[in-house]
Amino acid sequence: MTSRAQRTRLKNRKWIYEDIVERVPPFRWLPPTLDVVAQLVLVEGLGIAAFLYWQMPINTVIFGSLAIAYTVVWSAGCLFIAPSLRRLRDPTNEPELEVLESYRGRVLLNRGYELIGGVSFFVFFVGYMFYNPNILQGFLGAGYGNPLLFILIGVLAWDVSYRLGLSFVATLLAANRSIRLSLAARRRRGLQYTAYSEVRTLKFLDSVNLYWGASAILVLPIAAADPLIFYGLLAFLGAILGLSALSLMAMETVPWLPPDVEGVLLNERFAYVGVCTKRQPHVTPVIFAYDGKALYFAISVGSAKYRIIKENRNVAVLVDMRDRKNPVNNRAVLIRGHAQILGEISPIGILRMFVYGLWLVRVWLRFQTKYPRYTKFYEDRGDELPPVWQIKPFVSRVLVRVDPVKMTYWREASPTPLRV
Amino acid sequence: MFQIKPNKKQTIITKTIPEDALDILRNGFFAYFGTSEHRCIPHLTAMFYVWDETNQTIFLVAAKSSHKILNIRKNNRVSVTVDIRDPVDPSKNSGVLIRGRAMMIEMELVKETMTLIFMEKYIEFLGKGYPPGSRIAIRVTPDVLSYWRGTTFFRWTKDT
Repeated sequence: MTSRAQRTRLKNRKWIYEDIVERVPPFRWLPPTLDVVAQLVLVEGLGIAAFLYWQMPINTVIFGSLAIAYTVVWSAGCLFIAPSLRRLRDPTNEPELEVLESYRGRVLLNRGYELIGGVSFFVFFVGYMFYNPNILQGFLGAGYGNPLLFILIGVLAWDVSYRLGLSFVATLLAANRSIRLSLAARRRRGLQYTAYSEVRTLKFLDSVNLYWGASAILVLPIAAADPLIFYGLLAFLGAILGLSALSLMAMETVPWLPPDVEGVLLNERFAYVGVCTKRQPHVTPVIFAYDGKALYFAISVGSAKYRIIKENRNVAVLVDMRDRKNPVNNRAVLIRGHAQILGEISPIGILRMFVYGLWLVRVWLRFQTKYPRYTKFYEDRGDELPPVWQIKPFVSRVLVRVDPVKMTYWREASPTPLRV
Repeated sequence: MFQIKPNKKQTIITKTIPEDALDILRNGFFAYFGTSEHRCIPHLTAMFYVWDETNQTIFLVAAKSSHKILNIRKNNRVSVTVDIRDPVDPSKNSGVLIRGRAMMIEMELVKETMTLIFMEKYIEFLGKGYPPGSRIAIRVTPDVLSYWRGTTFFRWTKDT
């Protein structure tokens, strides 16, 4: 378990970049969003002044601006990643908590991890510039040899190296965390889990890592001056892409709900859907499918549910295990959330189908395997039914996806609210 | 534009509550009780109930501090569903949906016969010393009762 002291340290510890932004004027006087703009204006202004003073070649100002743009684009990502990482709430499953704690500790508390990548890139860059000074000479033109300009270039090189290094280390640590989290999630018992809001945040952080890494494309034109640096940067981009993909795939395998809840959702055949219109609730049974993340139910376009959900997307879905004889076997899950109608032929419906695409086919197949007899019934006797009850996607039937906002699990009659 | 227009005429309007619907209410074991929170956010729980034949009302018992009771205090429009599930043949699914107003009654004021029927029905589930003081009865008087059997729909309204 994390001690209180470690929590406070986690909260207060900042990355070097964040420290600078928080302490050094003029950044400390500005709100975080304006820090990035201030950084751009300040460094770019300095660069242009140097360009004019030393009368450097024109492509130097373009390449210099690209390097500055990279640092700024990266910094914009940093404003999201560190605060979300600190806000992450603890999983209730001990092994998953350990994985997350060690990840947070490494990324936020360990200066070594923060600097090792940056220092390596910087040392490589400086060493290579000594080994092959022609590159720098070509860039700086008449100003080459001026110590002040060297300092300026050095600072810019450190800025770029620090960011490249930190994005690489962060992506590497994220991939390691995702794989370990996915393995730890298999050892869940009862109501232990990592709330899926946290899983979503971690996936969001992974996408920021990818954005960080991919923003290095901006320095590719500069790297083109030398084949070694160019191919090195390409390898870096490839590694970031590969590690991010690995991390995202591992996160996809982490179930969003605890095993007890999943047990009810996977084994039960009926759900009750509560909707509300004009302050009047309405409850009906439906058949449903659960895909490990969201819950789907199929409804007819002729039903009251369809009409009401279009007016008010708040729904409550109750799935329960009934046992008239033994009270202990009675369990229920109540998911309250927002419904989204999928499979309508309308501008917004087509947009949603584009977003969910093949996933909908998967959900339909899940319905068919879960309810083979129902499917057969509708195939054999579908023509005898009124048109609105026939199984005709888009025409008479639509799918509803429920994204949970609140969740409650009952065992016997005692409810346990679960975080979403 | 491609969708089929629902045909409201397919719902059969009845003057009395259909006997099959009453059978479901008499023999059902769990009722699904829907209430709504502020801004029409629905809430749903499975509950024990007794159908009161003489007054044609439904009785449910809940803990005083439960979420549904808090909801009823703010909005007494509720809905109760009792149904028969058939995992093989959808044409054999049937159920009753009652929409109406809920009234809360202290357990001591509920007719003794109703309490006895309730306790007898759920004897396996109720702990020793039931009913404790923390419980309250909810009486739902139907305004609209919908009954379905397969894809046939019936509707009874209080005023008709």
